[in-house]
Amino acid sequence: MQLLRDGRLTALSVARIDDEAEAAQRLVSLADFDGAPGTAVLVEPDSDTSVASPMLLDQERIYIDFPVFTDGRGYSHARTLRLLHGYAGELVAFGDVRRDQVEFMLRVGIDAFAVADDVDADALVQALDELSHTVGHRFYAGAVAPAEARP
Amino acid sequence: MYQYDDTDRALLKQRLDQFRDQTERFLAGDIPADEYQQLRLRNGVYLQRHAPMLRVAIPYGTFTSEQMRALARVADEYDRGFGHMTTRQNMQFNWIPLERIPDALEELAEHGMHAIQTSGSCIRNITTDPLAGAVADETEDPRPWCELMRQWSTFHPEFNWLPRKFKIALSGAEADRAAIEVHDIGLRLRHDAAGESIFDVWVGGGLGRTPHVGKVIREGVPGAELLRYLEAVLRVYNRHGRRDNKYKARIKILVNALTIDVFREQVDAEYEQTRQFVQRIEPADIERVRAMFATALPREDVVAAAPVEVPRTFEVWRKQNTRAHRTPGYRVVLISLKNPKLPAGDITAAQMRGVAALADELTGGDIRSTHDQNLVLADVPERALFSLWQRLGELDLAIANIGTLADMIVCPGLDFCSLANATSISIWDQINERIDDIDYLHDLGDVKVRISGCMNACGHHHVADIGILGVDKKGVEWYQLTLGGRSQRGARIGQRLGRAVAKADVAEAVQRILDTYTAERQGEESFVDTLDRIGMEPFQERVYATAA
Repeated sequence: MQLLRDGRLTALSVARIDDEAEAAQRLVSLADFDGAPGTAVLVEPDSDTSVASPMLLDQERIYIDFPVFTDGRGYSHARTLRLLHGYAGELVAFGDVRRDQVEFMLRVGIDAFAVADDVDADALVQALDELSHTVGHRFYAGAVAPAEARP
Repeated sequence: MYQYDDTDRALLKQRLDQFRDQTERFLAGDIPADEYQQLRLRNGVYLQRHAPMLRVAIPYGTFTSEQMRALARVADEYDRGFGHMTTRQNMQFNWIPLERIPDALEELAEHGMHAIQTSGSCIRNITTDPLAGAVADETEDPRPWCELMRQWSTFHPEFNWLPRKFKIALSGAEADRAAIEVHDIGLRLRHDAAGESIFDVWVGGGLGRTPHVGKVIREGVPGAELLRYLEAVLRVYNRHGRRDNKYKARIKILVNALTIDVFREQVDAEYEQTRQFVQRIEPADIERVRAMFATALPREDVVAAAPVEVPRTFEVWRKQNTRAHRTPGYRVVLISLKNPKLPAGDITAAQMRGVAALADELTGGDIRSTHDQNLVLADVPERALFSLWQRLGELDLAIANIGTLADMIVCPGLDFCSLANATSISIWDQINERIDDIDYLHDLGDVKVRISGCMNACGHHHVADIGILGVDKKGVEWYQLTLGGRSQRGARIGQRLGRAVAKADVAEAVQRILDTYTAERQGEESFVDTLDRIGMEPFQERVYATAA
């Protein structure tokens, strides 16, 4: 698995709790998060993000789960974390991340992508590169840049 | 009407390039079919029984003669010379090969048209009153608000993967010609005591397998807050709508499961928390768009009567197919696409060009499409009516059946649609053959018949006076009848008459229902009022009496 951010790929070793694969770190569901710094918190589709603890907002990285690409709840979670809670750390899309979805993920404030080994990482990098000219203004719901999200 | 600027055009171009690339990758085997399905749906492409179907968006049912001619070119060069108007005021093509769809879309994009979000689990084309801006019972022209909602909902990053499709309709008039009570969100635009634009909001209406009339969730949302409130509704739905069963995924199921009061509490909480992060519509924003829709009609002298003796057929057409305009000296003209020679809602490329030419001459190029699959020329000078009628006649478009039983809404049915269980078009033909006397139709008055070829209810049979639903029983087509539905103000769902009738007997059953109505009605009493007064039994007795 690799982490894609700002056009660069780096190694990433996290796995779901029930995944048998070797991994340096296991993802912890938001409901089970005990506040420990450095936890790999996973916001799942049915997680409740309407409230967010200070410990959560202090995490450097939060994973947003997309179990299948058609499940759009992660987009609402990302936007809620950025806008309502002013989360300024890294939001990583985890799960069924596909090249044709990354545009919308970026626009709700997700800024990094966990790229599974069976996904063509180079195609994803290229897709993101092509999106650099994406327009978003006026009443077309625009991008939410993490820096702007801090209240 | 709204004029596309560089931003709109850039977005369109970008989306077109993206879809062309996606289609090429799919055809090369680089995108799995299940993923490409979702991508093509968001660009209006279905794979149908014979060929792909392309659904082109006509935002809030307003387009120009130039755009109509572009649609005609697509019909001629990519399809088989036809287009089909839908109940969401869009136009569908049924015969374009998949690999040619990007080229057809490019042709349309040059004229500011596209197929974005005309299908898929996202916010669909926003619909409104096809007579907007032209009629006297209107508080305010809803189209500028529709345009701002179009911009807001187009490519909204958070709401592109909703549990299910999402339909919004807006009406700004006393009469509801947009069926707002049977939409996921229905909006009624009115003015408060200070003359400010405010919205009453319905939620959870819809047809399909489990028809529901929407419920009022909030009254008097200020215009400035409209997008903020809509976002709150959409976010609650996106997070809590069911995703385990596509037949229970519409917002109406969520609203019903929670009750409207609990749903309202959740939306209110979301709205209060997040409204500050969503764009306000400032007065300057709405004024800028309003200016684009304002039509300054040249002063017209009212013509008391037609200059010379005119044929009775013209008088009949004028009475049936035109409406009063808010400006004296003008009429609103409805063009019927319910010619028995073609499937309901179909229009040929030649007719499209003909209508475009008439619009150029008479309405500054403005053309509307209606919820019931017809067209409108909204601002026609009274003095031009007679020649308009003659020229529509040359195009075979002067049939005087607007608002009659023959003005049926008919889905494409089994002949085209891969979801359908039964044909709809053959039932349309059967009823047209049986009931073809125009005087009889006019005498019946406004009796709505609507036909759906399956329970997805694209023909809106639930909200017709007489609804006809095709079902499949062990490989044989049968038709269920419902009576007493209504989509206007005080919307209601029709009630099942009784057991389904065989395909060959549908027109006979409809005739018997009409016979019951004409025998029982008192004076000008409407179908629904007669039904409410006498109940279902007289209709049932007549239809099932001699084992139709």
